[in-house]
Order: sequence, then structure tokens, then C-alpha cells
Amino acid sequence: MAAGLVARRLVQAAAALLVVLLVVFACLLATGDPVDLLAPPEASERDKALLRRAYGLDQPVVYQFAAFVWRAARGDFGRSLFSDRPALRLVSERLPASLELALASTLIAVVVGVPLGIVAAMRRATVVDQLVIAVALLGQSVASFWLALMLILLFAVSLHWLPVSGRDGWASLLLPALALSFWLLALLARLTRSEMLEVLDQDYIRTARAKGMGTAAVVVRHGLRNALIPLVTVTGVSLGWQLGGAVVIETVFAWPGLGTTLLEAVLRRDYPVVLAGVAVLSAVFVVINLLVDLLYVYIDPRIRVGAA
Amino acid sequence: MRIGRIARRSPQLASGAAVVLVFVLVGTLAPLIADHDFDVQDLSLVLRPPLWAGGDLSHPLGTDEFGRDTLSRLVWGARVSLVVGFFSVVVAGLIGVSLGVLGGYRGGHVDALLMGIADVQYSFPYILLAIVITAFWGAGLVNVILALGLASWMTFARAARGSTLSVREGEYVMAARALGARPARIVLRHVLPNILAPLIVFTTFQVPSRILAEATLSFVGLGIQPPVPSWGNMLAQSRGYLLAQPWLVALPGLALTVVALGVNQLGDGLRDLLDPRMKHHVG
Repeated sequence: MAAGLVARRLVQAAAALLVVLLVVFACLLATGDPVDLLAPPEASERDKALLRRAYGLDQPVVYQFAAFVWRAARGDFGRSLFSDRPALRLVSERLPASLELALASTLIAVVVGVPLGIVAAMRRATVVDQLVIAVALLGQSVASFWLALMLILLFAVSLHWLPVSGRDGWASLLLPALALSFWLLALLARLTRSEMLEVLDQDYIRTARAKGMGTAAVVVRHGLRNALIPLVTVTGVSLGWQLGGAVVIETVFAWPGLGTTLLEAVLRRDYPVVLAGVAVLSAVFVVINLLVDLLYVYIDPRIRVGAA
Repeated sequence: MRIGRIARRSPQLASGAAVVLVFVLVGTLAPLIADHDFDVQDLSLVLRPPLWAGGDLSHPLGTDEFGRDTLSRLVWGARVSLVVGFFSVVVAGLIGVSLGVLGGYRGGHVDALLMGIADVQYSFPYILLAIVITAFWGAGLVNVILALGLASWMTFARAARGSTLSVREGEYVMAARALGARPARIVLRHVLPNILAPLIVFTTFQVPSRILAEATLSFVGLGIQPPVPSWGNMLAQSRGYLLAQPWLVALPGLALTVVALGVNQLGDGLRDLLDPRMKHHVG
């Protein structure tokens, strides 16, 4: 039964990927002739026609899309219109840096946000609780790229503690990861707090306390474990969001990731690179969502029983 | 006074509402409030500091690298944020609520198809989708509004669908159906009015993220185009002066944060007011 569930999710994932590619492909077509961008101003119509044929742009649209999907399935997205390098290689070279940033920021958000939420729930309606609520509210109201600039101003420009930009060891990772993590940290703190408040009201918590169990054990073994499902969902899905958010943060810190490459390609209409970038990102999102779904089954026995 | 009582009961709602009121007033009355035109350059007054750093009253928040008045540009920027925040939520809301109510009320294949599309779009971060759409359609106010609306209708669709599902089986809907009312009439007269209150609170929560998204798009050069000021493009332009004139970077971001904070507070406060059960559970 679980295999059937996985197979169904895999088909859904493939369909999702295809739809994303179709939408991006349609958007690309709607923007006009890429040959006008590629060819120098003095190029003749004959030169343009040659160029069009070289890139397969003279074929019918349906054929172009079918050929594109077929090539994409084999990892061939064409060559960059500017650097003439294979688009997929250009994109996949940059993916590890983006994943590193997204993972680091998610890690910071979980390690700080979840304990903050727990503490707030345990100290309900105290100054600590109010403070956590304020941090959570602030985190959802600050633009991450502005926070990034302010962090640069404080830690790199004024205090000289950390590098302004680039990717050279953990020190250069810290500021972009912090800037990117703040909103997720706020979201997790808020969510953990509300989930814990709900769980701490349950009868089994009262029973555990009545048995004489220590507060820490009650919170971790009974409270957190039951609040885990929504937290895992948000953390898993947010890894994808963090990759999306990284696009902008990467440009602020000149972080050599997929976001910087994709944004440059979008601004220059480097179609093969845009398509390869979107396809790779979509594939990552789809895989993450799939893993999160499968993870539930292991965390929550009730889902396992329900699925069977 | 009722307002006074609400303010005492929920200071959060009051402070949020005050910020939003000021923001709306400043945005609406920008041409009257702004002392200078947003695009008038004066190269003899380049990079003047704000009042607290030795500036003068003619430019209380200083000037930018083209000698344009920062305060006036911030005021005009508020107008852009207000327009984009409001209308992109309206676009997303119109598409999302229509499809959500349709799916929730009809159920079956229609519902499955609509939610399937929503799920596919969910697997893609909406800011990235908005970046791709504006990149292809071109930057500018209308395209930013449409891009943000199209990139985020699913959130509204899910909320509207959920509410419709719970309302659909209500006795008054059954009664209307038994009396022979047509589906369109039932939806407009009975379903929509009953799901609107939670949707309005939900909508309030969506405005700040749209304001931040517009700033993000403008920051990367795909949103509002200079010389029209947006807090996002002001930040992009002044990035190079982070060291020499930090207030040029600090002020638009601060304005952005205060407004987003205010709208979020208003949303939280409204939710507590309309649904007191939630008060103790969600911070």
C-alpha cells in the first residue's frame, strides 16, 4: 500500500514538473523573438534566419516544446546564449552553493526558532512569551534583503567581524544564512508556540505530570513529539521556500549560487539557462515535498495505519 | 467610546490600525504631503545628510545621489506600496476566492482539478514565479500587481474552499437548495456572505507579504522602474552608499518594516477580536 502511495506521489511530481516547464516555456514564447537579442544590430535577415535555425527556433511551437521536454529528460537544455556553455552544467555547478545557503538558514531557524516557541509556550503570558511574540512578528515584517544590508553594515562594515560578500568558508556563510533564516525562524517560533500550547492542554500531559515526570521530560517526550507533525511539514516545505528566497539574498552577498545565475539569465533573457534553472529548482522542490510526505509516515504511526 | 474600549482591550489592534491609517493617508495624499517632486534632481544638493546628522529643514531626511529629497521619495514610495499591496491582494483574492468557492461548492472533478493546479503552483516559491512573470512581461506597476496576484491566488483558493466546504452543508444552504434556488444564487446570497469575515482577516495577513514582495521585485530591478520611487528600488539605488550614507539604505527599509509590522499587528488584532478562541493559541 505504501508503495502505491509513493508511486502516486511520483506521478504527481512528474506532472507538476511538466506543468511548470510548460508555463515557463509559454512565458518565454510570449516575450518575443530571442534572435533579436542574440544577433548584433547590424545582422541581416539572412544571418538571423541562420541563427534561428541553429537554435531550432524556426520549428512549430508544439514541436519546440516536445523537443525541449525530450532533451530536458536527458539533461540537455541547450547552451547558454551568452557564454555558450551547456545550460544545465552552468546551473548545476551553482546548485550546491544555493543548497548550502538554504540548508544553513533552515538549520539556524530550527535550532533557534523551535526552542523559542517551546519556552514561550511554557512561560505563557509572561514577559518571555511577549518577547518571543514580538520577535515572531518582527521576523514576518522585515524584508530579508534589507536585513541582509543592515547585517553587512553592522558586522562587516562597522565591526569587521565577517566578510561583506563571496563564498569562502563558514564565516562568509553566516551573514547570508542569518538574513535568510529570520523569517522562517519567526514562523517556526510562532508555530511551535501555538502547537505546544495546544498539546500542553491535553489529558496525557496532565497524566504524565501526575505520574511525577519532570517538566523537561514531559515537554520533550510528550509535548514536542506530538507537536512535531506540523513542524516537520513547515520545515520541509520551507527548504524549498528558502531556495526561492536565496535568489535575492545571493545577489546582495554576491553568493555564487543558482539564484544569482537565474536572475542574471532572466534579466538577459538567456532562455536555455532560465529553463534549466527553473527545471532544476522545480525538481528540487518536488523532491523535497515528496520526502516530507514520506517522512510523515515514519513520524506519525496514525498516518501509516490510515494509509494501510 | 467604542474605539477607546477596543484600544484598551487590544493595544496591538490599536497600534496596528494607527500605523495602517497613517500609511493609507500618506499614500493617498502623497502629492499634497510631499514637499518636492520625486524626480526633481538638484546636483548642487547631492547626498545631503538628514537633520540629526547635520542636515537642514528643507530636506529633513537628506537627499540621494541625484539631489532628490528623500522624505518626498519615501512618501511617494508609500503610495506605490499601498497600491501594489491592495490591488495585488484584490487580484489574487478575486481569482482565488472564485476558484476556491467553485471547487468547494461543486466538489468532484472540478475541485480535484483546481486543487491539483494549486498544488503544482504551491511547489514553486511564489516570489520566484513573480520574478519569472515580470521578467517576461516586463517591469512596471500593473505587471507587478498582476504577477503578484497570479503567483499567489492559491492561498486564497484554499482558504475559500475550506470555508465553503464547512458552509455548504449548513441547514440554511440545504433549505435554499430545497426551495429550488439556483447554485449561483446560493453561492452569492448564502455561501459568500458567510465565508467573508474569516476571509477578510486572512486577506489582511496577505497584504504585508505583497508589500515586501513588491519591494523585493523592485530591488532586483524587475518591479517599479526609476525614477518612480518604490521603497525597493530606493534600496537598490542606494546600496552603493551603504558605507558613506547609511541612512539612504536604512530609511526605506525602516518604512517597509514599520508598515508590514503595522498591518501584521492589525491582522493579529482583528483575528483575536473576531475569533477570541484563537487568542491563547496563536501568538
